[in-house]
Formats: sequence, C-alpha cells, structure tokens
Amino acid sequence: MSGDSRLLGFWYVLPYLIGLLVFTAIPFLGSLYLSFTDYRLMHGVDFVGLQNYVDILTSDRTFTRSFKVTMLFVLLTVPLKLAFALFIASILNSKLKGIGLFRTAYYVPSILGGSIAVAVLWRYMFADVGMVNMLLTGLGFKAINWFGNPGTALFTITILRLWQFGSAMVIFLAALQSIDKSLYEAAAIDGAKPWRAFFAVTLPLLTPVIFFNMIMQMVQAFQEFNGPYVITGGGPLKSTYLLPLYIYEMAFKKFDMGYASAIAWVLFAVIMVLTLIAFWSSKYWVYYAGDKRS
Amino acid sequence: MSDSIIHSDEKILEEAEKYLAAQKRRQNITLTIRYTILTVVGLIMLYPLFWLIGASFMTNEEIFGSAGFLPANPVMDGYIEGWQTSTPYTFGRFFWNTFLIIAPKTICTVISCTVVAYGFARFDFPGKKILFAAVIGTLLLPNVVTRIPQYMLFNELGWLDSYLPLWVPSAFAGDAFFVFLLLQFLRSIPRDMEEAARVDGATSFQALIYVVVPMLVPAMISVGLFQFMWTMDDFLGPLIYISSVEKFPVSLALKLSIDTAESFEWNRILAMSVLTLLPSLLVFFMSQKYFVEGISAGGVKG
Amino acid sequence: MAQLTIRNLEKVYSGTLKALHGINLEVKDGEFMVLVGPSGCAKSTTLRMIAGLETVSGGHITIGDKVVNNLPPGDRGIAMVFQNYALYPHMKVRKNLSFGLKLAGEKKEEIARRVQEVAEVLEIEPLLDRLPKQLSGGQAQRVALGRALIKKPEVFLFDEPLSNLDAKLRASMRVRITDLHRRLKEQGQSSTVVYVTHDQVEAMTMGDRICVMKDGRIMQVADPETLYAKPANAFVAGFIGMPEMNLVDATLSRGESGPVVTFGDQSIRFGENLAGRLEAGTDGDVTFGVRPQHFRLAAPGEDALTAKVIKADFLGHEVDVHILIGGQRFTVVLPVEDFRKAKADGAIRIRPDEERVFIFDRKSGLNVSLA
Repeated sequence: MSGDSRLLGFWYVLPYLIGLLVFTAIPFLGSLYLSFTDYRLMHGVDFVGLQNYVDILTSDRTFTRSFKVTMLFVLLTVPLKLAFALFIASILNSKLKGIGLFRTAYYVPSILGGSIAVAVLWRYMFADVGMVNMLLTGLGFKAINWFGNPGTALFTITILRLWQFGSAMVIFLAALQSIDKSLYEAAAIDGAKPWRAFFAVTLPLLTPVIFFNMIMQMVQAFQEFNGPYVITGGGPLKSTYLLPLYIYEMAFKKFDMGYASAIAWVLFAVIMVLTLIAFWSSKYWVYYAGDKRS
Repeated sequence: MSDSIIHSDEKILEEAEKYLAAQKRRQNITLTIRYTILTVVGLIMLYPLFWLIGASFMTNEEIFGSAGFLPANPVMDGYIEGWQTSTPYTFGRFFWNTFLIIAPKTICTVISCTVVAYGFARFDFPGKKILFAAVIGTLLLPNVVTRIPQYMLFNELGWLDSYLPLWVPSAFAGDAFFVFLLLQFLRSIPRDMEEAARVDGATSFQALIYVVVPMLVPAMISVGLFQFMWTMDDFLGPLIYISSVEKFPVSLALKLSIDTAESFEWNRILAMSVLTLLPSLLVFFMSQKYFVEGISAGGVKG
Repeated sequence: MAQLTIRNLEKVYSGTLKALHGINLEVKDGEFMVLVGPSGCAKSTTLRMIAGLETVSGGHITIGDKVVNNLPPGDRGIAMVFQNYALYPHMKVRKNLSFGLKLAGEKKEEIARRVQEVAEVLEIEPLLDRLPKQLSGGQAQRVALGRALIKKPEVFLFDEPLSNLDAKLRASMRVRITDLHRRLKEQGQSSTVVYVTHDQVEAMTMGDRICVMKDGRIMQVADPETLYAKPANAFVAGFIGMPEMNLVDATLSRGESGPVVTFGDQSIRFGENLAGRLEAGTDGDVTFGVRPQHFRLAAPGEDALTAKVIKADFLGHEVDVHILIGGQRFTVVLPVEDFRKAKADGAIRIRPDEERVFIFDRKSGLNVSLA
C-alpha cells in the first residue's frame, strides 16, 4: 500500500526473527561448537575436536545401549501407531451414529498422554500389584514383573505411546472424509470388493497424509522423555534408557555439556538422515492427486 | 402364455427380495462388527482413566485388592492427604505456580504469534521467503539440539530457578506451529475490510487491532487453548530450570511425590494426578468447537 | 474542491508484467467520471492506485493541488465504496459509519450529527444498530455509501459497487447514486467521482464523461453522446451501445458518385456525407461499422444490400434480425411492420443510414471517418 515503508512487514515479524536468532539459531550452532569441546559448565572450554564423537561411536557402551533401545522404540511405535490410527479411522469413516463420541473418546488420551499424571498412572498400572497384574491374575494368568524385566519395561512405555494414537487418527479421519465418494462408486461399478477398493482407491489417496503423520510421529518418538523418565527411570538395566534421557542426564546431572551436545548432535543426525530418506522415498510411494502415476 | 409371464414375474420379485434381504443382513453385520470393535477399543482405551478416577477415591488396601474401578466405599482420603503433600506446601501452591507459568506464556504466545502472522500474511518485505522457510523448518526441528545452549544462555542471564526461561521464548513467537496456524486463518480472510480501514485513515497497526483481530478471535482462542494444554504437560522445561520446590508446577510436584511417597500411599498420588488432569480435560470439553477449527486449519489443509 | 489529475501513470507487476501503460486523465471538479472496459483492462488497478491501495510504478497522481503518490490512503482526501461492501463485520452500522471519523479524532457530538445526517439521506436510520450480517445486499451497499459520504472527501471512488446486486436493485441504486451526486453538487460540496464498472449501460447512464479502457490503455475519454456518435476507434464503437455495433470486414473503393463499400459479392454506394468525413487516402481493406438500429428498408430502385435472413428475434415492438450480406453477418433492428413487409416481399433490401456509418482502419482500429 502507498505510504507504507518497504520494511513495514519486517517490523511485524521482527519478534520472530529475534527469537529465532537468540533462542534457536545461535543455540543450534552453539551446541555444534560445544560438541567439539569438553565444557563442564563451571570449568573453562577446552577444544577436543572429534574426541567426543569418537568416544560415542566406539567406546561408550551406554550410548550403544541407549541408541539400540531408542531405535527399537521408534521402529515399534511409529508403524504400529500409524497402522492402528488408520485402522480405527477407516472403521469410523462410515455413517455411524456417535462418530463424534468415539472420536472424542480416542482423542482424549492423546491430549492427556504426555502429562506426568498419566505417566504416574502408568507406573501404578503396571506395578507388581497394579491394575494390569490384577486383571491378569483375575483371568488366570501369572502376574508379570513389568518393571523388572528389560523387555516388558520397554513394552510399558511403548503401550503408553500407542495409547495416544488419537491425534494421528483424527488427521486420518479428516483425510478419509475428504475423499470424493464418487471414487468409491466408480470402483464398485468396476467390480471392486471393499478390500480391493481400500487398497486401490483409499490408500493411494491417503499417502500424503500418511507421509506427513509418519514424519511427525518419528520426530516426536525420537524425543520421548516424560514417559521413560517418570515410569521406569530408564531401567531396568537401561532397557528404557532412550537417548533423550541419556542426554538429559549427561547435561543436567553430570553437567558434562560438551559430551551431551555431541550425543544430541548424533541423535539429530540420525533423525535428519531418516527424514531425508523418508523424503527421498516419498517419490516412490506418495501419490499427490494431480500428479501422473509413475 | 400370460400366466407363465405372471409367474416368472413373481419369481423375479421373489429373487429380488431375497437378494435385498441378504444384502441388508450383510450391511447390518458389518455395522455391528464396526460398533463392536469401536466400543471394545474405546473401553480398553478409556479404562485406565476410569481406574484412575475410581482409585483416587479408594483406600490403599482396596486399590491393591482388585482391578476394578468402582470403589466400594468412596473416601476422600486420597485427596485430603495428597493435597497436603510431604512438602511444606499444599498442592494448591503448585497449582498456583502452574497458573503463574501458563497465564503469561499463553498471553504472550497469542499476542506475538498474531503480530508475526499478520506480518507474513499481509506484507512483502526483503527476506520474507527465507524467514518463512525458517518457520516451516523449525516445525520439524528436534529441539534436543538447542536445549543445552539455551540453558547456558539463561544461566548467563541469571534466570535459572525462575519462570523467565519458560515465558520469554513465547513472547518472541517461539512456537512456529501457532504462527503457522494463525497464518492459514489469515489467508482465508479477504483484505477488503483492512483496505477500507486504511482508506478510513487507519495505520496498518490500527487495522490489525480494530479490524483483523476481531475476525481472528476463534483462531486466537484455538492457539490459547492448545498452548494451555501443552504447557500443562510441560515437564522437561520446568525440570531443567526450576530447582526450588516452592516454585514447582504440578508436573514437577507429582514427580516429587512419587519419589518421596511411601510405597503404598498410592491413593494420594492418584488423587493429585486426577486433579492435574482436570484443567486440560475441562478446557478440552468446553472448547470442542475451537479445536476442530484449529486442527483442520493447521493440519491437513496446511 | 478538487480535481484529479493522472499523468503517465504506470503499473508494473513483478518487474516485467506491465498492467498499465502510462495513461493520462483529468477529472474536473464535481465531475462524475466513469472508467469502463472489459476485465483485464486495468480500470480497477487505476482506481486502486488513486486510492493508494496499490503502489505507483511510474507517473503521478494529483488530487487538488497535492501529488499523492507517496501518501497513505487515509491522507489523500478520498473515500471508497468497495464491490463487496467491506463493512467491518463485528461493528454495528453506526460504528461502521463513524470509524473513520473516530480515528481522525472528531468530537462525539460532531460524529453523532454526521451519522444522523448520512443515515437520513440514505434512509438507513432503522439499521443503525444492526450488524452487517443482518443487512441485505442493498442495505449493506447503502451503508458502504454512507461510510464514504460521511467523510466529505475530495474525491469519491467506486469499485464496481453494483455488481453484487440483482438487476432491480442495481437500477434503483444507480438512480440513488446519481441523485446523491447531483445533490452534493447543488449543496456546493465536493462531488468529484471516479466510478469503475464493466457494464457499459451503467457507464452511459451515470457518467458525465466516460473513460473507455482496454489492456491498460485509454481508448477514448468523452461524454456519452460523443462516445456513441463519434467513437474514436473500433473497440469503443463495438463496446458502447446495445445491441453492439456491426463491425465487419469490407473493402472501400471510390466510385464516381462517392465511396463504395463492398462485402463479398455485394456493394453499396455512399455519397457526400461519408466522402466528406473520410480521411484522405482511405482505401482498400477496412472495417465497416454501423449500428443495428441505423438501417432502414430500401425504397424500390434505391441502391441497397440484399440480405439473407438467418434468424429473427421478436422483441414485441421491434425485431432483431440476424442477416448475411455477402457472407458477413449483421444484426439489424427493424420495426415489426417493416420486417413483415419485407418478408412479404420475399427478400430484405436494406440500406444503412449514411450519416451513421463509420469506416475504421483495419489494422489500427482507428476511426477514419470522423472528420
């Protein structure tokens, strides 16, 4: 508009720019720098080059364990959560009465799930005399020492994450409901049974949303902290010691911030690589309406 | 001749009706299956919450007794004792702290994100594309790599053990998600009324306050509600920055209570957990309308 | 009291797309100037540049004695009525009207007085406490009009204000706007208007002068009569007037008695009137223009064109006849009796009125028969 300076818009976004620089960009680069040092908060900063990374990748057993556990956690929760969300969304996607009620019922866990209160609940649910074991014994099974066994401990925090599938489900449901009904009619006329229609019509059209959800879930899963920290404390035997916990402990309990930064950067690199792979692979399986099928 | 035609007509009708009946049966079965799955899954999903609420009204012995969620004799012990906590402070203090964190943070978020979104939506300026790419980029950025230097920064500023590290980034539109949400909303509002305001003599800022903001209110409320719920759940932030118990929000207080409680005093902790979840639940249910608008504006379409 | 001057006004988008090619226009004080043209002619762009809603790429705009290029819209002494009304949705009508005055710091009593004044003139008093969403299209547009009036600006700008209204409302609003304009003039208040529309009927009935635009250039600026009777080029000729003027390829040659116009296998002779008007040297391939209403049946023996009737639309008192002459299509409007008489005679023999005939240069479109 006339009379407006060319920079007027710039002034409006200035707060964001300042925040971006001070709270994101500079810390981002700062942590990269720190990862090449042995900074310990109280002491000075000594440059150690790649030593931290070498230690992490070769001699740090804790890291190896933590990394394995984290990858296992992500590989378990992301596909399962997406699959389950999609499954429920497709069941909901019909002219049912009470869709709103079900949708709310499934969504509530995902708004509460990240809280400490729910983590606390989980701890008590899976305790030796907790609700889950009560159910198992009531049904004639043996009680399980959930927090005593490495495998089952991971199971408890996995279940917590899966419990929160509502947020992904709502997005899938919205996408499903936006698919033109006439496509299904055309498929029916072509003789496709419901299953066939799902794979031939629904799934391809959903691939962008699946892709979006997958990336979001993956990035979040790698940063899971509340659940493991409160429920299992990382144990037993570090079987739920996800990388964010390791970073936290290194940085804020041992104050070995140089080393912690290096671990954070390794985690970041892993996330970036996987995200890039996902983007690269999306060429082959994500179908945007309006593109030509290859 | 005509007889056989009538007969074959009747036969066709019979076949048609049989087919329709079978189809209807199939549809009903499918519907029943759907309902069954949905209900079963729904109950399994919500059972932990039912149990939580029920257990908070039980005595400890009863909690250990069975998996049921209905207390035989509801008691308030859990709430009364839990409220006292094992610190010099009651849980009321911790709720107040949480409020002290959430209120400024939410207000700062709504204001700063609205202003920044307005800048992106209505103006062209040098560097706009790059800055906008940064907004999208930070949406995906794992913040694990920025936490440590942020801590050091706040340490330098002397802000440790205060709420400042929790408030200040939000005053600078720190949550890119909300900028994005408001931006999408703004894009769907036609510029006519702002132009009319400019012709009426308003500056761009006056147009923002008097004309745009009133139209943006549903989106702003969405942002406020989302931020409210996310902040209630925020644990790592307070964990890192707040060390005095008297300043603990409820998330830290709950963790503290698990660490310090005797191994059987569950009902207290569960009771406090219920109280902690209540605000989020209440906010969620009171604002169903705004949430649906919020999700669809920033989610699938975005 | 102001006039509006536009000099070499240009608008360029994204460095390369030139939407407005350096136009010049003067609007006299108190004049109702209409900018009209097909979509894409940049009439709205011009208006918005006058308003300050678009920046100027070249040239300048003067309102009164001030060059306003760099002034914000609020400082230019203009008021605007938008196509979609652009009323503030959360403010009652009263507040919509007074918003600008409040921003300018006017006193409460003065604001109230002016709101009352405007509401009376536009008959919107009962609506003052309603919200825009409770108004009908016509009511909303009157409020938008009121918002402009209340400012007492030097120039009023209208951006296709009637396009969203139904035909009947459009007609009554047209009258209302022209009445208001006249009244403002009588009261000695500033009443300069720039009015954008794509509807040439609106333009012809409302404007003191009309500026016809095409593809970012001005085709002609004149009062309605002149535009109708003396179009400067083929575009204006075809754009103004209903039904459209016939614009047909033809060949012009000089016969002994005067110019001869040939369509395919037919020709017709003209005399001194056309000869006198034609520019020297006009010859060969031309565009021939004549309005459908300017034909009459030829008397027997008169030099005429023989027309083959393709279609005839009866309109009650007259007939729109679509005909072929020498392979070219024409539309002719004839009184019903004439048409019946002609049909009865077997073929239509018609002759265009020589005074109303135009010759346009085939390449440039310029009217070469105006002199």
